[in-house]
Amino acid sequence: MKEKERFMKRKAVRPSFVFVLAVSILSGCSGNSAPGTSTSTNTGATGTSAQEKPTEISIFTEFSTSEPPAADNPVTKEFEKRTNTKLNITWASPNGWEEKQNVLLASGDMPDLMKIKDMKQTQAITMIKQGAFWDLGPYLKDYENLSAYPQEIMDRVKVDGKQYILPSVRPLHGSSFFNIRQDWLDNLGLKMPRTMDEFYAAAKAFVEQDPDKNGQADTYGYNGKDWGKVIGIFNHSNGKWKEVDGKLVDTDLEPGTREGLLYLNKMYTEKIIPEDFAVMKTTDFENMAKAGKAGVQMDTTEGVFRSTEGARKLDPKADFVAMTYLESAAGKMVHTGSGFAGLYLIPKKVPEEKMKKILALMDYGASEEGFELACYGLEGVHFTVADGFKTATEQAVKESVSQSSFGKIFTRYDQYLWAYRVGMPKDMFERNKNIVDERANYGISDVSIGLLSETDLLMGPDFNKKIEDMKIKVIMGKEPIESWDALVETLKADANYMKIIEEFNQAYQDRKNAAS
Amino acid sequence: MAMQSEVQIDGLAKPTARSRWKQVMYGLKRDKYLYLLIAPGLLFFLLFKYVPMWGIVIAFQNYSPYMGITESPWVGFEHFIRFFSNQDFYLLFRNTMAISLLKLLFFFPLPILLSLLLNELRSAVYKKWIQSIVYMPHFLSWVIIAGITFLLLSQSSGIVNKMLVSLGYAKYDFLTNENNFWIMLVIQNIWKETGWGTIIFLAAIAGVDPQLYEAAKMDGANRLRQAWHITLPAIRSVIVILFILRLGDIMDVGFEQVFLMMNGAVSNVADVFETYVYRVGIQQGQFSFSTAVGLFKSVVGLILVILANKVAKRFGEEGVY
Amino acid sequence: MKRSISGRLFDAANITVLALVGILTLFPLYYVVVVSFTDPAEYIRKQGYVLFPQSWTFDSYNYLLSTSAFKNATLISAFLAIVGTALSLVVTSAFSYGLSRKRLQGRRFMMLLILITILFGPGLIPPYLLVRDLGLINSVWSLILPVLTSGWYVILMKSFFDSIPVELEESAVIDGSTDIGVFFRIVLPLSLPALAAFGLFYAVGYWNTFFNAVLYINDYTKWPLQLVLRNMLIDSSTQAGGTAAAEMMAEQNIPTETLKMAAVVIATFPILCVYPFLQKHFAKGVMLGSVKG
Repeated sequence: MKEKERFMKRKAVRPSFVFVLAVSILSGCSGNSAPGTSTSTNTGATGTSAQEKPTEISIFTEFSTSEPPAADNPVTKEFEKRTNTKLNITWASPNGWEEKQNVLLASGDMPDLMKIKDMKQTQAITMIKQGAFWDLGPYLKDYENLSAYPQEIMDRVKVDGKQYILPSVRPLHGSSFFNIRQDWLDNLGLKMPRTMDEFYAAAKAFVEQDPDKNGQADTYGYNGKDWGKVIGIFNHSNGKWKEVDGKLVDTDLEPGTREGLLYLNKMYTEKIIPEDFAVMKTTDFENMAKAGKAGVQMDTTEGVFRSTEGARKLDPKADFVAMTYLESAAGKMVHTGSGFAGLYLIPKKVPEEKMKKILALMDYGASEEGFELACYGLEGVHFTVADGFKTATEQAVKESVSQSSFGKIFTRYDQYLWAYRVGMPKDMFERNKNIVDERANYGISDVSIGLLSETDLLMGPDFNKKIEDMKIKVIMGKEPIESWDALVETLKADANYMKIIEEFNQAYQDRKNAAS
Repeated sequence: MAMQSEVQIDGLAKPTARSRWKQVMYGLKRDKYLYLLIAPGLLFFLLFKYVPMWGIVIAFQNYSPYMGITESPWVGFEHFIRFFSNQDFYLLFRNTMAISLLKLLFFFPLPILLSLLLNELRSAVYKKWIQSIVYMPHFLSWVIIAGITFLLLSQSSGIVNKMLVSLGYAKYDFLTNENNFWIMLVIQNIWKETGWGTIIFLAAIAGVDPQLYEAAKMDGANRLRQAWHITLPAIRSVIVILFILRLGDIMDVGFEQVFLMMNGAVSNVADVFETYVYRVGIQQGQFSFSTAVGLFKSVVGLILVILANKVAKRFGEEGVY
Repeated sequence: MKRSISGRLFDAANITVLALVGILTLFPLYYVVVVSFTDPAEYIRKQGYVLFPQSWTFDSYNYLLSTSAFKNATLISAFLAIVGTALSLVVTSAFSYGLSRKRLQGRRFMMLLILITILFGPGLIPPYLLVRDLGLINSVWSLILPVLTSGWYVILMKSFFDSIPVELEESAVIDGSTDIGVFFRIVLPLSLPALAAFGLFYAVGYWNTFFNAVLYINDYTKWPLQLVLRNMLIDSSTQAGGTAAAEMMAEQNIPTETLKMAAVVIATFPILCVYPFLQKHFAKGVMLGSVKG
């Protein structure tokens, strides 16, 4: 394929912090294979007749560029021109957009296209069930690019077996997992860990054998971020629930969790995990990785490059490599992503004709051409093409043209989206692509996404809190493992807790039946 | 009832309904400009505070935004029962009250003390500087303060622990130890808000007639006596009102602070009503339940305020109503 | 007059204690300012323990000040702080003054009415609907009118007016003034310390407008400064976890600590400057004494 074109050329390095920050915003898009001059055909989205009045479409979404695109943003204008629409986009502040989402849902002030965060938005899901939104299922087949979204993801966001929700698709593989300092492994003559025992041994060596060769015992094996994934590996599950013989099993009651807790407790006691892991926030974990103090960081294959870049400022050889899988007695596994970042809904009050127009707009955004426009903007204005490489201009930064803005609305499924980040050397990108490909063989999905249980809504958070608190205490040695065993026994004897398991199973069966 | 005191001058021993009405009309007419003064404020409270009050009734419903308040089913006290029958209710209540009372006991008097000390400074310049410095921490968000706390107290690299180690002591798990969690919250609060809290007292002290101090000096009263007999009485009503109002939100301990400092190791002492509502109500989209818990907290606050106000009135204070 | 030894001792102790308090409060602020001028790489290398940066850099400030929204946002925030504070002070003080006059009929009932609004809140949605129905969505007035005054401040301010004697008005009324005239010409000038204090409270409140803007203002050119700044620093620390959240985060740029601190400095510096100007009104003994005498 056009490997070179996938690869966005680094802009001439300027020692400006501002610039680096601004350019890296573009990162997410760069894995896309859209060539500089797209030749892809129109997808039926464009209003063909010039006389036809543009359809007015209001959209609610969020953004994570430093500013939202202005109302007269050239990319918005271009989308309007190409799809014969008039877009009225509300870019909600990333700080607090969930609250705004809830207020809009509750007040009925919904736009024509409404973004919600995930499948846990009870209020939205309830409204879906009450018939507030269009079932898009019967219409999607008419839209070539939207139909190309992986079925796996589409199934995951169904409610009562129907496709009310259009996901903002993201790669399934390449999501957050362990990343290990390859250079440290090399320094110590260790090979890439594949089993949990090897992982432990490597992490321990990172603490004891001075992997950074600075003569000081100042490193941690694993910074402790998302330690729940360690337990997941012992259970061979992504999250709390896993499927065994067609039924959902709560892994917290399984021996794998106990095993994982003992494993983590050992790591904690031996200072492989920092003493403060329970109070550290995302930035603390990341800063530890950037400071070259942690041998293992948890992040997506793309996101970990932030840590790598940071660590390289102190040690040019620093290299976090994403691990492909880890193996416990339960088997090999890696965590598969949810496949979406945000979900779109069209309220029923939108007339059918207009609903189709909205789908056409989204379909255009999912075409190669449309996705290119969303992520890169206009050639010559927002990006330039040289030797088949696309380079973002400062204009793009200024006008907030990025996946973090328009890419939040318009997406095309690209399995390598999270293999690349701006500034990444080519060999690393190639390596990541291989990792993403390989992970597909070992990936385990979270089977519980989109499942609801009435009892869980009411009592789940309390149970979960008790469970999580006890886990932390056991790991930190503040409670013996027997306390965990006792908690498990209590839960097994708790009628409400058992009811939650039952209801999740029921929801799971219902979904299966609806699919077949 | 509220109008008795002044109007009785008109000389009616036993006002009939009719004459009462006349009195009211007379008062309204007499004070028409006064009513004009309060009109904008009153209008504000009616419009922006009382019109939206209907939101409270969803505490007695299974509110669904899609169906709205008219269609949502009524469930009576179901949410309250669920809240009270929660097996952790006692724990939540204990933590909330403990943190609140500790703050009331140790934090509340400090701004008063600090403003008295500031008032005693002879150098106006020095006073100005100190005043301008101590009120600044108020502007730092809890996120920043939590970050600074981590730098000071963490085990892996915290300054305090480094000092302990160099003095030959073992590291101490300040951030994950149940024993000192409440104290830590109170200290953070003292650091952040004491200076800010002095502003209102300094304003009240500024209203004191300087002649009073002169007279006291003539009588040979020392500074302590002046502070006790002149300054403190001058700010007493502000103190009383602030205290009563604080009692009103005794069930609130400051969500952001607790939420940021809380972790699995200390949640037995850290989980309060606010974090509980966030977890069980807001995150789960349970509007009715969240509102019910809020209503409970408000009612407790109201009862305390009414009681405290009665006591204050008995001591000759104006109180809050 | 001669100062006693114990008085001098007290003065010395007082000065020392306050100096200590000053240092304790100043140090973390010093830290915030210093970090804002530090190179992010140095911050990481020192793991946050920066007391004096090796090299000073303005990059964080350049970045934050470079956005087109910044200038606008500052103007909006200044407008809120000036116009909002002025309106709030007038409405609050007039209301509180009225309530402080004992002859006013229904005053206790109104006080209770106000008290209840302090204790009972209607949540998020009803106020939103009200603002919408008043046609204030996307208007800067949605950031002023719903917070025009507050029960706390009315009740507190009333206690300041309580001490103004009735005789004062009576003499003015005899001279032919109305209550309104008395309020503006006599009462307000006497209450400068209170006006300064509550003015500061309101100004800070308006300057820090954030959440209402998230809800009520869709047009980002009308966003206040705090919102614009926070958008540049998406803060993950209070976000709930979960796989989906982690994956959304992956696409974001986690802001460096240095950037965060610079934002804090930018966001608070202007409002910090207000206080020293108000300070002279906190000086002891305003006219009240002389009038009474």
